[in-house]
Amino acid sequence: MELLLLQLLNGLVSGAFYALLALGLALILSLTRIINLAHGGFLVVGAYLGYVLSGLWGFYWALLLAPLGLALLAVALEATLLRPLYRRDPLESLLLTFGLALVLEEVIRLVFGPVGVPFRIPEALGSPLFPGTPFFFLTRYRVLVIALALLAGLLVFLLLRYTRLGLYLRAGAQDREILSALGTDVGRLSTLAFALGAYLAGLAGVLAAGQLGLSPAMGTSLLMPSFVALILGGVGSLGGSYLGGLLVGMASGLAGQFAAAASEFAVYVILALVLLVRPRGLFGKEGFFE
Amino acid sequence: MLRYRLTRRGVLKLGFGSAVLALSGQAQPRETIRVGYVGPFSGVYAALGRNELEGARMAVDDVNVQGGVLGRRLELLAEDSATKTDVGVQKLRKLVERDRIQFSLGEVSSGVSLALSQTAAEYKMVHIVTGGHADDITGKSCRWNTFRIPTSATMEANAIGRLLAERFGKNWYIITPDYAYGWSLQESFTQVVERLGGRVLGADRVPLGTSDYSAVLLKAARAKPDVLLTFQAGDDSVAILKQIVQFGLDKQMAIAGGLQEWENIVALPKEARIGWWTFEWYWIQPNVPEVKAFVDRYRRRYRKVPTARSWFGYAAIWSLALAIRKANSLDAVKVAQALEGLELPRSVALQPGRVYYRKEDHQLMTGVFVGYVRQGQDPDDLFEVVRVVPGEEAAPPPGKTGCRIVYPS
Repeated sequence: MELLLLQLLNGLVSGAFYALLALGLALILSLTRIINLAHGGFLVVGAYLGYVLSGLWGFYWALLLAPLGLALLAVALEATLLRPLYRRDPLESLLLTFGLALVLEEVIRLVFGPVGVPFRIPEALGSPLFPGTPFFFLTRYRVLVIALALLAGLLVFLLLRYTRLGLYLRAGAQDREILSALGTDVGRLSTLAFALGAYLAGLAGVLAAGQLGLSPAMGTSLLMPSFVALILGGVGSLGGSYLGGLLVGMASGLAGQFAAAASEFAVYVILALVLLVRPRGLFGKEGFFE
Repeated sequence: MLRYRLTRRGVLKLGFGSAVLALSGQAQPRETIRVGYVGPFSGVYAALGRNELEGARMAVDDVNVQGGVLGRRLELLAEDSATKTDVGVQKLRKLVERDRIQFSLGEVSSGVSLALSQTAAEYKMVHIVTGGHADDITGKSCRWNTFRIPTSATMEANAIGRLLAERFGKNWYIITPDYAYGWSLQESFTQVVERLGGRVLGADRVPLGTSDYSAVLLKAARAKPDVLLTFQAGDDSVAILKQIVQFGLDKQMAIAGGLQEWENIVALPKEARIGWWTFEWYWIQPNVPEVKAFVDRYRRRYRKVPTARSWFGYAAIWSLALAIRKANSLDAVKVAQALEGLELPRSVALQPGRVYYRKEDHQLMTGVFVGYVRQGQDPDDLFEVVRVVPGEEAAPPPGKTGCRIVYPS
């Protein structure tokens, strides 16, 4: 029983990555109606950017700058490739982001090679906070991961809830046409949502590289559970997707106690169970993206 | 009008041309003995395959400097298998049918090794396995024409198992990759610890390509084993070793596994270079003077240290040369019979103890180097050998391998 609780807590750590990714996906989806399949590619690019930067200036600068760099890249991609597609069939943007995902991953493979590269974290972070106790798995690094994920979630929440910009973003998520008719530049809001989503993906990327290792395929393996989290939390609900990420992480952590292979499987089981009871996800709103 | 202009390049070409003429005009006294090597020079095992080939090349030159065998020079031809069974077999056929090789060596991967052994048997050709570790090669699937230099998986488990049990304890926990090779390692290590009166507290099979091992490590730590065995390879082994170190588990229990390669350890980030493993040969052996001479020569030639793989190639060529001399013939059956029981001289065995091909299963009774990973003074010194377990002690008794050698009538 106690071990199950520990596994739950451990699952929360991987849940932090899913939560960051799902929140970014949800932001982009609400503002632009684009399902960003390139989000995993974003994460990988952010992680490798962090790898390069940490080689130059150390881990903490990489953690600070790599997500910003990725956000700039995302803004450029949004302005050049995606903006022309906003008013067209959603299928076209889906195809574009799918292609973009392949291109980003392949570019990384070409530049850095198909095999993983060692990503070093500061030595002080790579040790348990409570060595020798049942909580040995809480290394300083993992605590940092959870803390930053919570902080990022909190900041996004504060931004949306208490600032004028957040008000516009929420309005845009609810009804782009009316907001646009009222004289707000919705295009700029979309760009901002993209930048914010990419920033979160970059943050998750650098953090994941330090914990799971750095390889070109890491984005794909983290992205699928994040999509599940998005649907689990309810499409259209930003908070829901964030919570969904944590839940998916905990479910797979719990299942890992019984069989290692079951932790991948558990993600979909919990999705099926939730959708049976609440077909729109936990916090899904009627009429959104339907 | 065309006029020939005397240039420096022209003179060089002329000189080179006449040198070639002079050499080829000097008729070789007798035809060379051709040996083919099939191994991976591309793909994940490329580094291992290249080292085997380099060791073999060095041995060929050594043999030829001494006048060759039966008055004839050895010639080595190499082909890339890309670690693919069909490619490897096709390359071996090409070597036999087009290049007329009379003996063959090869392959890092167990699967390809088995296929090459079978193909060589079809041609009634002696084949030396330079890299595959599956038990079957000198077990159920053994053949009259096939001899193996590396250790079998069971030999590794036996060799390190006793030391782990004596030094750390008899409660083990196993984390293994979820496919055939991982299962068989789990099985042989379980048998070893149970025979020694210990037990396996738990075993987890983790899919290949997993990057987060925290859930299984949490379970393993809970079981409080004396020894945590992991059989992951490549990127997976980097991930699990890194997480073990971060969780501080290496301070609570011994971390160990089976076969480990110098080439793999060197690719690991410094913090993940831990654990007790078996090597199949190591380049630092203070008590065997012949090793130092070999290492010095190898370093001069290739600007790097020889690994177990280099030694496999080196020993394979020398085994053939010695057997041909002993048989005084190139006939495959006679050479195979000469190899049975053949003891390698110290300058070829390059390790303490008696090293010979066992008659009953054609397995080389080579020592298993058990020890732990650590950084020595030389940047290439990554491993501390604690004990060289003699092959006879590590190998299962001849009656228990499942091998029966049948010669063609």
